[in-house]
Amino acid sequence: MSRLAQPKTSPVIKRDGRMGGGAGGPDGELHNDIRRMNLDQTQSTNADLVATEICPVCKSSRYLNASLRFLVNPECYHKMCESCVDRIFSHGPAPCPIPKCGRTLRKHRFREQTFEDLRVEREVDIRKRVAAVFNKREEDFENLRDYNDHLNDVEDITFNLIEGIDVEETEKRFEAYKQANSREIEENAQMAAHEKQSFTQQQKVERHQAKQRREAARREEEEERREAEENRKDVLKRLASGADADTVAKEGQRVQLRKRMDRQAAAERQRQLQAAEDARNNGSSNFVIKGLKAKTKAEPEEPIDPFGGLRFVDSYYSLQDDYVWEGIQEAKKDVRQTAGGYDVMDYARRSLVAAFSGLGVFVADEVTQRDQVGQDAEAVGTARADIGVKDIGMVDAA
Amino acid sequence: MATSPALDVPAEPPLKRRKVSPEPPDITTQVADLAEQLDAQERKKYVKGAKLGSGQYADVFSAHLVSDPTKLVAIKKIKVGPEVKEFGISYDSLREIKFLQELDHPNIIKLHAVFSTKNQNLNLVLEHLPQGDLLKLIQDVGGVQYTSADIKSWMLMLLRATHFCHKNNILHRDIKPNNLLIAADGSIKLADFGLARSMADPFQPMTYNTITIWYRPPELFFQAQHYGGQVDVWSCGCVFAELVAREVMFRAWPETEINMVKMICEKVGTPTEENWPGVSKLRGYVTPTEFVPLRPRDQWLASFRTIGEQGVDLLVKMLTLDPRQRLSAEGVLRHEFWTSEPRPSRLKDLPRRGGGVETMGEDLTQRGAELPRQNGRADKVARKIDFGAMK
Amino acid sequence: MTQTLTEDDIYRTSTQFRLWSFSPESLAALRKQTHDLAITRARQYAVDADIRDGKKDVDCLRRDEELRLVQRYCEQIRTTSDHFKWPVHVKATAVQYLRRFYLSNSVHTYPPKEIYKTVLFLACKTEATHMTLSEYARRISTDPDVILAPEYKIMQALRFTLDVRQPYRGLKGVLMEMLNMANGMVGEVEGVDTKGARELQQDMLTLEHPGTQATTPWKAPGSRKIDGKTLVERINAAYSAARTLLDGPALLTDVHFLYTPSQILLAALHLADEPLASLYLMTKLPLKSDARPKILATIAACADIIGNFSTKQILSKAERADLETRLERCRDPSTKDLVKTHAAAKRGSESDEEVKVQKRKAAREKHQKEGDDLFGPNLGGGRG
Repeated sequence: MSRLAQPKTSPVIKRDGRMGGGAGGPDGELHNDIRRMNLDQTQSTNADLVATEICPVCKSSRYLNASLRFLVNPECYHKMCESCVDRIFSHGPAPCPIPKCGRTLRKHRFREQTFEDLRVEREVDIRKRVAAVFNKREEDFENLRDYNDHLNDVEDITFNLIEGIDVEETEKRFEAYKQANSREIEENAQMAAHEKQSFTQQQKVERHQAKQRREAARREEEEERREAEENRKDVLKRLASGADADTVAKEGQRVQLRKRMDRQAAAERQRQLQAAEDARNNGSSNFVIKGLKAKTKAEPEEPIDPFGGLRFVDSYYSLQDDYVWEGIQEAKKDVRQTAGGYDVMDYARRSLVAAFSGLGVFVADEVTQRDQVGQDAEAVGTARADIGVKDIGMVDAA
Repeated sequence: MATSPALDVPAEPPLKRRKVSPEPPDITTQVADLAEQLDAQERKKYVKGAKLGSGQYADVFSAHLVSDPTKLVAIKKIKVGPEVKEFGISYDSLREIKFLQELDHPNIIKLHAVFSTKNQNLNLVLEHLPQGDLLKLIQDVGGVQYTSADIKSWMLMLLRATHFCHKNNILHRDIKPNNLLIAADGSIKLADFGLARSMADPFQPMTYNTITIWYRPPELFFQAQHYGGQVDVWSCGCVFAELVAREVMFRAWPETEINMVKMICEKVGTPTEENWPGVSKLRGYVTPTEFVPLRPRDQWLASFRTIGEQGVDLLVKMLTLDPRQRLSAEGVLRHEFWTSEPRPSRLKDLPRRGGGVETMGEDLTQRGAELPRQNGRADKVARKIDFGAMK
Repeated sequence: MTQTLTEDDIYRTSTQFRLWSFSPESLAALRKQTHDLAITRARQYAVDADIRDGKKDVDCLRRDEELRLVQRYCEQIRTTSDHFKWPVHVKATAVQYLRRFYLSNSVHTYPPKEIYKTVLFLACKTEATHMTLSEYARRISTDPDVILAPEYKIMQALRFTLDVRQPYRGLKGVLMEMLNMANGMVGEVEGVDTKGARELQQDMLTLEHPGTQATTPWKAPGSRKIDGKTLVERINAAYSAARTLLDGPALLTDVHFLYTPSQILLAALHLADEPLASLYLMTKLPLKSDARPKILATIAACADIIGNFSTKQILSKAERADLETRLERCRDPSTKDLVKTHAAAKRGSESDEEVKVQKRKAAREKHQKEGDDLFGPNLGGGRG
């Protein structure tokens, strides 16, 4: 049966968009489950506690090395310390050193553990993977019933994957859905990304505005206090100079009131100006309505990308730390070259890019296609010209 | 259509005369070979206009497409001078053509085509950049004001262009404000690839006598024959400083190499084995008479406060003595300066030159079915692409 | 708006891909067009009236003869470049310039004998190898004017694109990676699940020996499995053999028009030591991708062309002389004296300048004279 539980254990959870799984069960039940899981752990012996502090591969402990960091690989979820990862996997893929595992692991897939319990980590990874593909929303369905049915199916798949039931079969279903809905998946993913961006932007704006309000309030308070003080002094002075107490008091109050109103009017004008300025800059309204359904309208101010949207990607190779070839080694040793700023690794990179530049370019096909397009464009051009000529001949009635 | 073939004379102003380069009506060229046909086709696409400038090696003309008179180009006609006898077509022209043909980037001047005219003149059809260059903006202290956001915007474009060159394994080797031309939409275009070259292989020596002296990095003064993209980054750093201070940073007088080295020592610090391991092995390394320690950060901040702490941090890292410790172009683009406050100015908000050029722009950009002209500002009307949020 | 550029995308931006890459059909078509155009001209300027009238046919070179003549001079460029001890880039660029030149020009209009020296000189300039014209001219015993005369025409034929992408650096990159692999170091590629580094190293050591067709000079020892040192020798030998193929046969065939430098260098490597090349390539291409079989097939086709080349195909001295004699009889007379045309063109521009200067001077003087006149300049038309 499907599990509607959603693990929300350690405070390190990263909130990213919506995770597939939708309507969760009552929190209390969920909480108990989690507590039970944690309890299982804490009921473990001292030995286990120590075990979490020692790298299973090199046996170095946190007691001796305070900055020891553990990494885990989603291939087999075995964890080991950072230096072991460096040592073992820097030169390329290698088998997992945990005895009886031996699966081939890659360095770039290692990452830090987010949850204490590795089982939870694994489950969360699986859920993330599933959610990335099954990202349909409530609006995409005719009615609530259909939506919940869909969620049920998704949870079935997830459960199977987590518990290791019929994995091959389930994977096939997974792939099938992915292939069939690739376009929608992409669209939904983009929408989610947009929303996230505008959400963080909104938060920023909100925070900024809140800060401004706070400061404005504080300033006002200061002003008021100062004015009150001034006024009081003024009143005292007048009283001292023998004016009528009542009138002076009333005057004083009126003056204070007027000053306050003036100040508030000025502040209001400032706010309006600022809002106008903000509006010009941010294109967003002065109000930030919470909970409003985010529209997919692109924000006019995107974060600055220093690379201007251009990304160079190495798809056939990755630069290694060093190359044994003597050409490289000799160049590295030559002080005249290195002191001048010549970096031989730039040359290595250049050579490797050159080695594969065009490997996947099928000249005959692409050239033929290009010529074809050229011809078509010409044909279209002449066709339009024809039409144009005909139009001239047309006579306007009226 | 053809004017007298004997007069291949550039059109004199006023520029309304329609001029098409004629073909000599010879029998052999009636069935011209393919190369000539293609060349002639290219030549016929353009109508040459007024001469915009004249120099020792080339003349520059305004021109437009025959098919669309609103599409302007600049035609650089390379003069066939006496040195041709000794070398043939000059290295500079060859380099410019070779590299510009391969580079396509919004912040690098575009070479649309090359064709030849009678008398075997090379004509380069370049992008039309009517707003002059960055140097004029910097120098017009009275007339033009700009903010740190503007500086950030220009520097970002410059660095993108530099980075792109380096990714294509090309060293520009002549970055300076007068080679940064301003386009109609306000963007910067890196031009003049006459000194550029392809990055060298190991053990392949290059010349150290390159880059305009004020913008030349210390390793070249020390005659390093093996260097990389960092030489361009130093030049960019000089431009950065110049934009802030509105005067050349390393302006030694008289302009000798010794004086330049002295000035670098004074303003940045003396290069030593300690701050630049290996420097003493460079052939041209001169031991300075008095040792100046590396200039401390607060002094940099004092001089370049406008760009803020992040800006100064970046500037210092671009003007680092040891080229290995100096940032690469990619490293510069990864610095926090670009994503910190203030945002780089949008293109349309960048300052332009004085009104005279704009008026000319307006004249030359006659278009049918125009948007209604508000307050006659050409940049609001004639612009075609708004780069808006610096994509 | 992100634009991603892979290694392939970078190649697609080059002028080599945009202007100088062809399918076999389009290459043949272009050459035919050039050839036919030349024949038409030859008929027009033929001395023999019968030919002009179409009664007799002109005795021009056939297309295949043209190709072989060009190839012969590509070989000549190679020898001359080696004579100057110039780096391989200059040689390769010059050869490509020559080949490209003859796609849009015929040998009948510009015989290669008069072109190849200039092409080589141009290449040495664009590939940052400096030699003055006078020294170059002296060392190949040719008049400097003769060398300069066609330069402009060559630029035009090259459509003013001067960059030639070459396979030599790429081959070095492959060498670097293979040597690392032999040392148990592998760079991971996104999307390709290779075996572990140690395993690959083992695979390399126990690799099948190259076949008898392989061009590598490496002599395999008795046992199949070899030690580390021998493996390094094997790799270096394969590199060497591939490099030789790239220097010679690859330049003397059409592969640069039909394939990319990456494909060419891998083809050369395949010819040198097939098992080694295959093992290496396997670590680069994901097994399930569609492109994989296509890439392998492309490399194989390219290898075929290079492999089928033999130096025997190059024209002998006698054959060349014979073709050139026939060529002389029907070559285009208007291009016979390039030096004169070149000088005239230059003089033309100079004389234009002079004419202009003189006119201005005359106008100035006239104005001055008129100004000196007591009653001011003439109001009406010209003065007598």
